[in-house]
Amino acid sequence: MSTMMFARNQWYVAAYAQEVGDELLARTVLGEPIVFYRTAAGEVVGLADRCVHRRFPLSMSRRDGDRIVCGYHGFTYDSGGTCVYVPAQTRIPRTARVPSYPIVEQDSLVWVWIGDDDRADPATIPRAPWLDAEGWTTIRGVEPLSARYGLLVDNLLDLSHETYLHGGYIGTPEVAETPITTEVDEDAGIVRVSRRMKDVECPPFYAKSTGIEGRIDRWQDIEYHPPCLYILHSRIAATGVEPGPDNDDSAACHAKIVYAITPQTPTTTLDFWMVARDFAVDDEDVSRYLADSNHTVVMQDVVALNALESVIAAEPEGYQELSINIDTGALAARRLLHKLTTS
Amino acid sequence: MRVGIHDHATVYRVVWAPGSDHLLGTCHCGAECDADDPIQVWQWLLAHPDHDGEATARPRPEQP
Repeated sequence: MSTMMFARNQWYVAAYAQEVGDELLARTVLGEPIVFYRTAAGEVVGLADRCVHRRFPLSMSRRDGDRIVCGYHGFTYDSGGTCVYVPAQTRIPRTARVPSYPIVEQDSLVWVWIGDDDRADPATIPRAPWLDAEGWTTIRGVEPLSARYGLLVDNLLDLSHETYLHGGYIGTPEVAETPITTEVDEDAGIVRVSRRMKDVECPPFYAKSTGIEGRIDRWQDIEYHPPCLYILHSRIAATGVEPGPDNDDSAACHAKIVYAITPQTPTTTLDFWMVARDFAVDDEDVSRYLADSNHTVVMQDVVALNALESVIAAEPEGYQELSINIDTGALAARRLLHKLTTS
Repeated sequence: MRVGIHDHATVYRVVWAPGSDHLLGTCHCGAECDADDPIQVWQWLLAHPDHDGEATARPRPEQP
C-alpha cells in the first residue's frame, strides 16, 4: 500500500464545536496547519497557522479581541486573515495577510474546507443530526493515529474485526460469521454495508448499557461518506422485536457510531469518535460506561493501526494483499477515495 | 441497510449469500453476476456496460 494521496476540495472535521472557544486551537488538516478560535459573536474562525512575516505559529500567540497578535513580532491579524498592524511602521505591506478557511459549524462538528474557496459548498457536508438532537445523548473523544487515514477506513468498513480485536466489548462470534450486503451509490458517492444478525449474543457494550437481557437482533448498517464521515447505524432489540408497520421502532435501542476521519499528514490521522444513543439518555452511569468502553475499543484500533503503519513503512514495494468476502465494503471505499484523490 | 430503495439511482449492490461463499453482484442496469471474490465482482460491475470477464453473467430478462 503506497502512501495515500489526499482528497482536496473536500470538507473535513477539524474539531468538535466544544473544543473551539477563546483559546487558540492548532490543528493540521491535509498537511495544512490551521489555528481555530471563536469570535465574540460566536463565529468559528480558521486561519493559516503561520505568520506571514517569519512563519511563527499564530496558535502560539495571543488574542486581542477578535484579532490575533503574533507572539514573535506583533503582526496583528483580523478574523478574516488581513494584517491590520505591523510593528514600528505605518505602511502595511499589501501581501500581509494569512489565508482564511471556509468553516461550517454543524451537528456539533467544526468542518473546514481544504481546497479552492470558490468550490466550497456547505450543502455538500454530510449530516449527523443525532449528535446534537433532542432525545439523544452523545459521548465522544478524539485520538491521534500514527497511521494513514486509509487504514482507519479499512478498519471501519469491515466490522468482522470486532470479533477478534474487540472481543469482550463489542465483538461476538456472530459478527465475523454473518454475511454482508454492500452497496455503492455512485451518484451520491456513498458506500453502504449492512450486516443483520438475528438471535445472537449481546456483547457487554450493549448488554450493560441497554439493560436488554438475553439474546438480541443486532443490525449494523454502515454509511460511509468519503472522505471524512462514517456513520454506523446500530439497532439492538430483544430477539423477534421488529419495527412496527408505521416504522415505529421505539421498542428497540439505537446507537449512531460516528467517526470523522481527518488526515493530518500522509501517515498521521485524527480519529474523532462519537456514540449517540436514544436509550438511557439521562443515565450518567451509562454515559460513563459507554465512554470508557468505547475509548478502550478505539485504543485497541489505534494500537493495531499504528502497528500496521510501521509494517507498511518497513515493507518492500509491491506487497500483494489478499482480499476476501469481508473486504467487499472496504474495497468499494478505497475505490471512491481513489476517485476523490485523483479527480 | 434499506436494501431495495436505491433501485433508481446508480447503485451497485453485492450480496454475500448466506450459507455460501458466493457474492451476487447487481449492476444498476439490472445485470447480475456470481463471483468468488470481491475484487472479481467489483471489476465485473464497474465494467458497465461491458459486463464481460471471468464472473458468470446472468443478464436480467428483458422487461415488457
